[in-house]
Amino acid sequence: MWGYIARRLLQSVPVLIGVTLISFAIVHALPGSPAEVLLGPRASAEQIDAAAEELGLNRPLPIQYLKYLGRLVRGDLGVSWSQKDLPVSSILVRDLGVSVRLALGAMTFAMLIGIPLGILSSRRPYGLLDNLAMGASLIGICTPAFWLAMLLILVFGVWLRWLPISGYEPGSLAHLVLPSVTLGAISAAVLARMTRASILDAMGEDYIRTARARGLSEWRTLLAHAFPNASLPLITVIGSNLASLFTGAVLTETVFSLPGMGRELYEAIFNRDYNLMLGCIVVMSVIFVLANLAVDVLYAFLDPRLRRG
Amino acid sequence: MEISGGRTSGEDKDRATAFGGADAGSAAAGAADFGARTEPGTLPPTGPGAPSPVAAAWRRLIRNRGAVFGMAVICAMGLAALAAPLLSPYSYWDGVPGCERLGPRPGFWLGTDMLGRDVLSRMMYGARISLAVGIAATALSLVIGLSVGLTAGYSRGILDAVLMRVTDTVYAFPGILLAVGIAAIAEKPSPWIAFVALGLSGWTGIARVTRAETMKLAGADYVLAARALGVPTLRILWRHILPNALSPVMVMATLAIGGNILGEAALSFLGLGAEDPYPSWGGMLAEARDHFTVYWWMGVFPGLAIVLTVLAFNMIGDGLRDALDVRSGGAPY
Repeated sequence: MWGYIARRLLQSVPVLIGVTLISFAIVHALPGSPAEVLLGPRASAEQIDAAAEELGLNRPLPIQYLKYLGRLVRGDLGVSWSQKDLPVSSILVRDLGVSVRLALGAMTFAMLIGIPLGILSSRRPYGLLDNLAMGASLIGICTPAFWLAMLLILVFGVWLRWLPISGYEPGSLAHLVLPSVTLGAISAAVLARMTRASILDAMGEDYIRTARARGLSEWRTLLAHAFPNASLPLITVIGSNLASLFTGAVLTETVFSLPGMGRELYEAIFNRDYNLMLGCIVVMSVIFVLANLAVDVLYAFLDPRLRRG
Repeated sequence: MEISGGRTSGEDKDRATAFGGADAGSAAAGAADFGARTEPGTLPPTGPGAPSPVAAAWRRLIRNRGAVFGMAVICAMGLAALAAPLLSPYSYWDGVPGCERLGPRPGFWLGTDMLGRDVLSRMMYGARISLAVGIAATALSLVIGLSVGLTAGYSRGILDAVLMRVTDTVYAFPGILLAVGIAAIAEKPSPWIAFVALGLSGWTGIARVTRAETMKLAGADYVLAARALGVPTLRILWRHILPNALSPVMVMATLAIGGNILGEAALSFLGLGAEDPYPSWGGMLAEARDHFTVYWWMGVFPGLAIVLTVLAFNMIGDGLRDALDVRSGGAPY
């Protein structure tokens, strides 16, 4: 078990180095130097050159990259040039607060809708309810989230006036409802289908026949015997979806004007804010890699057959 | 569920993330993971005179109502896209003076936009970009994914380990940066950005499936026989392994087209797609964003077109999975 975790952690080191390398290359391939963007269109060539010198942009790229890596392993993400030299780490901590709340809200919504829907569907496969639920989830999977957001704003924000349609206030749950539904809709659809499929799988097992032979009610058989066994694959789906939800949702954040990580990255790119861009990407990839690792470990932990192997 | 594989949900899901959040696309994601929904198939006939596997698969495919619906929708969309100059009632770039912001009515069946341009005509031209980018980006991903997967699966050893770490890296990389980076280098918005960005980032799932299939097939007797006969490696890969590894890849690719159409719409929505007078569905939604609460038709119909097209590709993909009898095809992990 520990050997497995150590091996996986070791494997993710080259992945993370690769991510920083590619992003460093892209960031520096962007036309327009940060010095120009910082000083505005009226700056003279000498001023731009002096600023570039000060920012360390005139050194050879490999040196800049190694210097960045050196600071990174010490946990130093540098300062943001576009945001008054604030440390990148404190900007990201602030954004992460929003992104984490949004991701958790989205996953809560997805689980509340998806899992019960999947259970209900599996009661009577190919029945009316099943066909309706599976049809709805298929459409959910095919719907662009930003369009769903527009429809939700139209119905709940403009026609019914139930919920705020944009912005973010710390501590206000109402501001997170529509973004969470938008972001969680696809996960809900995926979960509903996964739940249904894995329960139907489990229903064919011997222990279900045993439970029925003991005279347990169908619901009890389903909830106490089939669902716990069927929930293992769901954990993997929930975990890896959560990882993707965390790492920013540019469109949801844009449509609802939420100050999260995805939007920060998007704006940093346009401001040519190298440190902020790289910081966003590093944090996103670390979360992504670690969350996927955590899912695998949890999976092994919950499934005794894998634990021993 | 293979434990060391790591990722579980469909690949497109994560691409979606890359392009704007878990929200951008969606895709095929789901459709990939779920159990098949068809009646138990009959045993294929064997022996001389039996139909070829491809013909048999095709026959199973056209018995699947969802897949037939999907193919009909795609054919209709494709026709509308190809024949847009002939079929569209108005031009896509010139508004009709005095006809701004009209709701759906005879003549303007889906209404007009802020500049008096016919929404239906613009959607027909928009179908060109959606379909072309969706299919071309998937083709690019296929070429990369198949090459990487075959190489890694057949060579094993160091090369395999390196290629798989590269695959993990691309998988963990936020695709939005790639898209915006390409956009900035191209200096003006264009559908090429979406094509390159989606194609370069969407191949990781295909590579993993191909690798797994290749590893399985590399030990098969007929491959060993071919090696013993001295058949060159490239020929073994091309003639003996690739055709047999193709079924799950085809299912994934079909689902990926839908995912890429969603990705293209998302990038256009962010202003990285087609440039203004030329319409794309995502771009039309972006234009409608500020006014659709009043002029709902500008925001509703292009969105419906996206949903319908992606739905069609997903239904074909599901049908293909059943027809090719791919177990859990498209969701390798």
